[in-house]
Amino acid sequence: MAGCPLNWALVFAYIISGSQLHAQSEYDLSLILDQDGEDHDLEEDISLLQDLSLDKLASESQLLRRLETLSFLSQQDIEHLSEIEDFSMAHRMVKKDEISDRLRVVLNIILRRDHTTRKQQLRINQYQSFNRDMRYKYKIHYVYPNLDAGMLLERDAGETDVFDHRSFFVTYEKNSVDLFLGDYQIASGYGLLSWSAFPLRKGFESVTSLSRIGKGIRRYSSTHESWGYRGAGVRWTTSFGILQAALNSRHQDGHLDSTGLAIINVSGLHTSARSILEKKKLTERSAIVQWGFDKKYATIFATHTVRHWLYNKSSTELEQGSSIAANVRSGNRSVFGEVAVGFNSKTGCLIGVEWKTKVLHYIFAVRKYSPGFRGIRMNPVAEFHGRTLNETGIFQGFRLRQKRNRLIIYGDMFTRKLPAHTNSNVSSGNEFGLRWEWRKQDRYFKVELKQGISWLEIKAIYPGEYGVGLTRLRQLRLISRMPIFNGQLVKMQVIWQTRDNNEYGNGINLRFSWRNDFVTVALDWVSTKINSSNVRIYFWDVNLPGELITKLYANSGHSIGFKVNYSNRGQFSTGLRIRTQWKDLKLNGKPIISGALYTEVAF
Amino acid sequence: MFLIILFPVKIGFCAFEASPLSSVNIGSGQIHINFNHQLLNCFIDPGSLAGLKTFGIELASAHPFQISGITQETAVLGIPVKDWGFAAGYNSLGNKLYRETTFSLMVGKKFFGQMAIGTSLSYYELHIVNYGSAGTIGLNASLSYNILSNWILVTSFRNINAPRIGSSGEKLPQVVYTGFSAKVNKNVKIQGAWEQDMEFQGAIKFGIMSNFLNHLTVSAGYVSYPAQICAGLQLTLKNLSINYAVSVYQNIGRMSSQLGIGIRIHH
Repeated sequence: MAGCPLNWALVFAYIISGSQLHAQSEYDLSLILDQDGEDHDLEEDISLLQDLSLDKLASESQLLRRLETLSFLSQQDIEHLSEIEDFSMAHRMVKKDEISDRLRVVLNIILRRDHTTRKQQLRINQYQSFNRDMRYKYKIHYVYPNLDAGMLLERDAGETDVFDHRSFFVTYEKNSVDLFLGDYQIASGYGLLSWSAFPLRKGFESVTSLSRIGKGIRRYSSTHESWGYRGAGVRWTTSFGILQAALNSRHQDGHLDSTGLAIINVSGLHTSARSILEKKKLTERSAIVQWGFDKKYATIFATHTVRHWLYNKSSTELEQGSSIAANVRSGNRSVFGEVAVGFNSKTGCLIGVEWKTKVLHYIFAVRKYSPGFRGIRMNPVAEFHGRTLNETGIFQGFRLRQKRNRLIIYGDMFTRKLPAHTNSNVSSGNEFGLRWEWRKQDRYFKVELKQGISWLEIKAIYPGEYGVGLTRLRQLRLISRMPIFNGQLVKMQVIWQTRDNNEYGNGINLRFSWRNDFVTVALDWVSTKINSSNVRIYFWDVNLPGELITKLYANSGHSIGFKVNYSNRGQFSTGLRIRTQWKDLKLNGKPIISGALYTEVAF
Repeated sequence: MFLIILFPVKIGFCAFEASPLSSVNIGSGQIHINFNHQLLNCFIDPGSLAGLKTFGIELASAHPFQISGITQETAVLGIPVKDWGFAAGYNSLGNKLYRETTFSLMVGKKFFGQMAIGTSLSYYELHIVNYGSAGTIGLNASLSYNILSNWILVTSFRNINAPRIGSSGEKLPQVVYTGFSAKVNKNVKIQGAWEQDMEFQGAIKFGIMSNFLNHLTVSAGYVSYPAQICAGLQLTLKNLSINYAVSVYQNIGRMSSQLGIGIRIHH
């Protein structure tokens, strides 16, 4: 009976036809947000969104205001959000065609919030990921009226301390004053002085996201171990503008080099002898003050920061940096930018214009970062990232939107002068991308073409000799997402990538997911054919709630992922994900098995 | 040299690796979850003191690896105060030349009606004849909550503060235990857990406990690393319990055993 194929077919037919699928038992945001696997890490945003979606105590306006700190929303999304005062307005907003799909997703998640009569709320998440060793992560989130607090305890695989990484945050909001204790983050202007842990990546999303201005302090659960500030901060909204001030004192892994520059190990891994030796050896002390002006027609922020390091009981000189950032809007046009004087008196600037209508969105931005420019937590849009910046670049792009079709084209040019002691004069390049997208509600089809060319002008050894080292990377991508029945979703992604015509990496990813009120199941298959590790491919892993993990493929092979998650209406949730990976197309050799176990309980 | 080979409870592991457990828990695969409400398990799962309703005292004597001269003695006193549970414990392992002694103070309480949190402060003392003594303090904690009506999830952390002992600063074991216990029916409970020492390979543990017969509880279980087959039993007569457990180490062909006694006083 049990083994009869007809019975199994009937069971399957029942599953795909009989489920009532209204509630979202969990959010696989990589799928919902349609985020590119190569895009910057959104774990902090996912953590915030998860906390907000389960926060039953905050007022509607508080929740909507907190949504504005999500880094993946565009400037236009923020402007739409600022128009919403309560949930009834939000319900009307999600029906409007002019808002972005991301904002619609985020609002829908928040609008599903349950109400409670409780006075406080506690949620505990436990993650245990296994690969060669076990990684532990514990997240605790506590909500009380006007108070939001969290704690993160983590041990990466191979680390010898049970809570190698510990952090906490407390935010308190009352009337016009917001207080921040513990870890916090400052996204200032366009990231020339201080930004989130990952820069905005140049790409299709930049066309709408590049003009987004950072408005200062927000809570930080330190998903990136070394990025957050630690101490206390305050935001005070007055009739003279928004005043923000913060003090930071925290240990960092690393050392000072011979020039007094702090060399920080940002990986957060303490497994090698060197990383253990350098653990928390540096102490960073800093202060940051900001004055801001945020109205419908303009947002302006002026920032000043000072910092010094303590290392082996000696202190470095005080570093100072300042910037002014603005986004001035008039009708459907805006001018935006930031001008900064960095720590060593080097300058950096990013200036752009934007024009947006219901059909067309155009953006043009110029950036120039002097060689050696650096800020306290700088992370602006750039091609070359490092301890210091050095480049000149132009980005422009447009998005055409017509009924179900969208066309996005962007281009970026960049160049930088290399130091005299290297064997090259200049490193330059350009990047171009074209995307056509057809979308109807939850289903869409996309075709993307990208090309990146970079070259190095090699110094002449003999008179008349001149050399250029050229690298060309091309990528074609097809992505399709299709709901097949209520609650079932199929997503397919195919990537063809070449580098200098002789290195290639091709991959296909097929994902099936099914969901009902309580259970989510996902099955994922990836096959790759890659002849060089220079041509790597990224696909999303099967993610448990609160995770947003991409998987990098640098070899030919196959990989199968499976996830199951059970959620008991927000009180208890548990899930398991497993991935088996063969680094051989013929499935030879021992597969690598990795996975994670997750539980969440709310009181 | 002889001592170095024989003393560690887990082969090649460091000082204070062994934590006291009740005989039923040893039998159930050395599970850290205090599913059977025994005071001896509070060293690892102090949160379980939150459910303490009676005064109690439990004593146990173990004979690790059948090695002549090595003994382990444990004693715990439990006191309920309103909805808090307190306990004081003593554990000593070793022989005439080498001895590890632990004094612990433990406390547990329930929060939000369902979540039990407990912590214990331990003083570890190591004594080696002709070499002297060294001591340090360790902090343990545990957290448990019901995930379904008959399922409980327990997470315990040993030595959160990363204590070190002696002039060489030897690190004491830091261990994370994660596991569940489920009541299958009126008489049967099953348990499963993952134990991860931060320095060594992790271990899977699972076991079953049954009290089909009045007054008699039996348990059986398995530990993956080092591989062990375990069994335990407990005879309960009113306020008195007598228990016994064995665990057989498959790789070295040796056996550890424990005999215990417990008294509960209703107030």
